[in-house]
Amino acid sequence: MSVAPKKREKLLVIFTAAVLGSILLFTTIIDPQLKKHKALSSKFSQLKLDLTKVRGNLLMKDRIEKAYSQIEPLITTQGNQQQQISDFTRLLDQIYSKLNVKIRSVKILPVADENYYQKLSIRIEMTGPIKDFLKFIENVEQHQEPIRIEQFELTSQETADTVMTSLFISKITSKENKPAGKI
Amino acid sequence: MRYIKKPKWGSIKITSCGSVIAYLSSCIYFENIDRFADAVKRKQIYAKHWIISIPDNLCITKIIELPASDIDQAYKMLEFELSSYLPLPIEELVYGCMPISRNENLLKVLVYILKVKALEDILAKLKSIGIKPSRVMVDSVAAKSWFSNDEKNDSAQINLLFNNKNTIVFAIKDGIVQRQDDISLENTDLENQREYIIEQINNTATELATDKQITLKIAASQNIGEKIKSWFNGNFNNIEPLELPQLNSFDKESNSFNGKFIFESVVAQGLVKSVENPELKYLNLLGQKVIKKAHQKQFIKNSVATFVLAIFTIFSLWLNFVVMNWRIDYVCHKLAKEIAPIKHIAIDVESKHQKLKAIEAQLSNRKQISEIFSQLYKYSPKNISISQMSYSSKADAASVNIKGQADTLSSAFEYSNAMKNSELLNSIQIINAQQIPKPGGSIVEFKAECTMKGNSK
Repeated sequence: MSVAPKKREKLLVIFTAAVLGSILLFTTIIDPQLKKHKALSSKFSQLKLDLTKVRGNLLMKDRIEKAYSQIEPLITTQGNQQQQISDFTRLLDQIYSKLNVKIRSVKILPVADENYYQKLSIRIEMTGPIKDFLKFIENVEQHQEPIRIEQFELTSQETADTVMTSLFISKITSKENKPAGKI
Repeated sequence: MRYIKKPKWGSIKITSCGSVIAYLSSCIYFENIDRFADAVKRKQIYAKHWIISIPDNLCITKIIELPASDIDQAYKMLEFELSSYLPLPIEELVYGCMPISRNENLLKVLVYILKVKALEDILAKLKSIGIKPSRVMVDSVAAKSWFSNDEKNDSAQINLLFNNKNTIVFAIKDGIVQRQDDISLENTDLENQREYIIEQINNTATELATDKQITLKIAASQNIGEKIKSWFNGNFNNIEPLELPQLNSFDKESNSFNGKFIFESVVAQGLVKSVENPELKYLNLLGQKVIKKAHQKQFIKNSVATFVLAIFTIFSLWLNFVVMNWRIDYVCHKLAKEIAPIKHIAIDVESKHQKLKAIEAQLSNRKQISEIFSQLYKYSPKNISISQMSYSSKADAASVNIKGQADTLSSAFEYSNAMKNSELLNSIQIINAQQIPKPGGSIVEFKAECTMKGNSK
């Protein structure tokens, strides 16, 4: 279809104006509503999820509280974070002080901060007879406190039955203050 | 009887006695123009566009040959050509044209010319009854359109239209009405005029002076149609009887018009038929100014309608989103209201649940390391010594990597077999073994690894 140049220019002007008008109308009228819709939809989904979680928690309330009452003494601690770390190092000191091991270093690692609890971590390097090292492990694993050896590295030494070890030990403690907000 | 029809085109023919014949999807008779105006006003009849017809005697007709390739070009040329054919200035005239024939580069057109004043009088009369016609045609063209089917312009035909008062004869050759005669039947009956009519038709046929066969089309009421056809059986080989349009009164149930308004009915129906003929697109005596103005008005009307529709669509879309957002917001508020009173209990339960899970994970697989050492002592062969060992636990899995020495390669590779009975280390794999020469012999150094899935708590 051939279109006369003047008519073509006129059509182009109308088309451009229509496109610009549509863009303008879209950005000023429709787009804000679309953005609001997106935000509201996301809020709606979150609220629905929250409600399901809340209802689920309420259903489990009795069972969880019963189980929690049993472990509560293990996790509840006194004092602030520094005091808790200090308590943790003292606890480890009590364990290895009775053994024939030489502590080469004790390194306090950053605290892993979770929503409702925290995980304290310490790396200890020690040397000594393997018998004492195994005793140390046994004592840690049998301890009533929620402590756990997460990693260790053991290297035998020149002297018979002497080993050098590096241990990564963690402890779960309750937070000083309960966080507000998220379920 | 009411005719509520909504066709695109409607036609009007005002009769000499002041009554109106309108054609919508059928021919409707109105006693007078006021009755018609009332029906239009009450929307008892409706047409998007109206087309009217004026008598031929109001127009001047000219046949002009123009060096045009088509009718569009010819129509544009007429603006400059017409002044040489007429003593009147072109501004005082409106004109329309239709093609007749082509002779090499010349296009022969039939031009109908009307004085602007005459047109204005007609339009003013119609305007007073609320009608703005989109087209103005002439009676003969409308009647010719009614008679024509799809015959070519090079044919010759004589069309006879029998009224109760007269007989109208159209002689058409090469698509042009060559002659239009009116044979009066007043004060006499049809049978008495038989000889005269036959003679007139024969003369007309002779005047057409064509070597082609002449078609005789007869439009007459049913009671006389067959009789008239028999008059011409000897003279014409090709006779076509045509059925007249049925005229219905708008106000009365009875439709007995006693043969009256046959010509007007034919014209009214022919007008609507002529709209479909592309050759007649420039035969509109409304005048360029009026047509242009009408087009502009239509364009503005369409633009406004499109704009309003676009705004309405956008508004609807916007409203849709607003309502949708309002609805979601309302539901959100409802959910928040439902959550609020139980939220603190849920947070407390969630906190305890999380701590419980953390403690369970922390206390799981206790004594695993002691057990690993115990099994290493129990199952490792005497000729295997371990120089390095690492342990790592993550979630519910733990891995052990061992570096050790054996006296031979086979002893090293048999190490995994030796550990088969171990409960924890039964999946130990040798991943590397290397024989290293030493003073007085050699030693094999190997690396082994074992992954354990935690299952005890």
